Amino acid sequence: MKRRYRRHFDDYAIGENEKLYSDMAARGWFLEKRGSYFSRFGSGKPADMRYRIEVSAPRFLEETWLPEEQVAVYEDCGWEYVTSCGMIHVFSSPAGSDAPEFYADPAQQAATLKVLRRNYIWAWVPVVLMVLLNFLMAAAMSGGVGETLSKWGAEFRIGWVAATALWLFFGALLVWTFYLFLHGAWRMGRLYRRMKKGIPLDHSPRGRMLPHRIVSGVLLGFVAVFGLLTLWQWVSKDTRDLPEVADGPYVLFSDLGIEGERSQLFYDDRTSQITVERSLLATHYDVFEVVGEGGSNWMYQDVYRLSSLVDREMFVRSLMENSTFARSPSSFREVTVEGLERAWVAGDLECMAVKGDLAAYVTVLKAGQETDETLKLALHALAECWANEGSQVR
Amino acid sequence: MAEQQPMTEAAYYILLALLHPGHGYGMMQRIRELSGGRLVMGPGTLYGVLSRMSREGLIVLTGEVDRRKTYAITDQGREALRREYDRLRHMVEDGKIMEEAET
Repeated sequence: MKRRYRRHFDDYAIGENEKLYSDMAARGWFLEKRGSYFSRFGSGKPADMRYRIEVSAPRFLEETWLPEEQVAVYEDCGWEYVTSCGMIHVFSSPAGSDAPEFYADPAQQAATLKVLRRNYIWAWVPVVLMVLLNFLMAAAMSGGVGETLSKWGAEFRIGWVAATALWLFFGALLVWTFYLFLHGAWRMGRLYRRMKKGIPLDHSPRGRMLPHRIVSGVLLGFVAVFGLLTLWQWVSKDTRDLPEVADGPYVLFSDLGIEGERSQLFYDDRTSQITVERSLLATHYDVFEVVGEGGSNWMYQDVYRLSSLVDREMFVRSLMENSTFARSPSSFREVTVEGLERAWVAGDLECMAVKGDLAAYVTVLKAGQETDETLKLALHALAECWANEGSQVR
Repeated sequence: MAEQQPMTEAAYYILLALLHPGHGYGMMQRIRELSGGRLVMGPGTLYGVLSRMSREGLIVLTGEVDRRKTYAITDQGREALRREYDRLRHMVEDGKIMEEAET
């Protein structure tokens, strides 16, 4: 048996869905199953059919299906149960049959839409609660609402630069979903009010909701484009062993004058590696090097070659905010290093450097030298590297 | 005993129809006959009222043949129907004053 899938209208468009199923039956495609987004049709001899949708109204935590007794009453009246999805239940009957409409009084039918209407209005509550809970937990652990907000802000800004397409993808997805809920809530409310006034449901509406479909289609298009860009970024990500000589705007222990065999940390099997990832706003070099017995010397670097669209000052501040050991940007002390526009150190382990379109956050430890000496060596090495690198100084 | 609230038209006719046990479609036909075609009830309305009256103990599910469920009125339902009938009858009698005023 041939099968076909078609995107159906959302739950609020009751009349439109009923008409869609009738039109498909007239073309020889009979509804078999309704899913969340698509309906499945099986082929058959074209027939004039009436399709009607009943909306169940479950109480809190109750199942959404229709009670067996209700289905039995409808079938007794000439309706055949076809399929259900969530609170939507579809029945059919040949067009000429004397199966009566489910409700003679539109106001009674309106009462069945209350829960569906409420769902559209309150669908965002669980998401908001989850985010709020997550935020409160983070605030409780980090010691304050303000601190958590600035940490989240920093993570957001770094994510925006390092994974722009992914951020745009989630943003477009959020806008699209929000638009669908907003439109659904508006349509559902309008339908509910009309039926409460006694205006019957139109089982065969003429409009095809074109403006809504265009807006929804455009938003979905953005989701798809940004999804593909995210995929491209992910596929083009290059992770490899760290070369013996730096081949990008980053430094190695040997550039700091610290020699030693490449090894690995005693608590981790990660070896010296570099990952280069290109987003729409930056090229990110994620570099990790470990040398010496038992991984006694290690260095992490996040080096970004930023697009001119990025607010560099803001980005650097975000990197400081997001640093591993320093509690806040105020922990970073500015130092002067020849060859760098600006440079900072924090404690004995972290430093930052900026020049032209390059920004670097470095965490480095050399065993037996737990002072900011190693940091200064790293900053000087970066200055030398970036001088040779030929970064585009703004 | 708490005073009975006036019944909806649908509930009143369903109880009337169930003086003889019946199933969904039969009930709807019977209601249409009883009301002289004035009251047309859909299966959605019918089920809504049936489930409410079943919860209130006014009707009971008596059997099932081929998924077709048969309902019947209970003693409590008969009492409620009788009270509603009396209430309506009194209202009609009280309303006769209107005819006297018009003559």
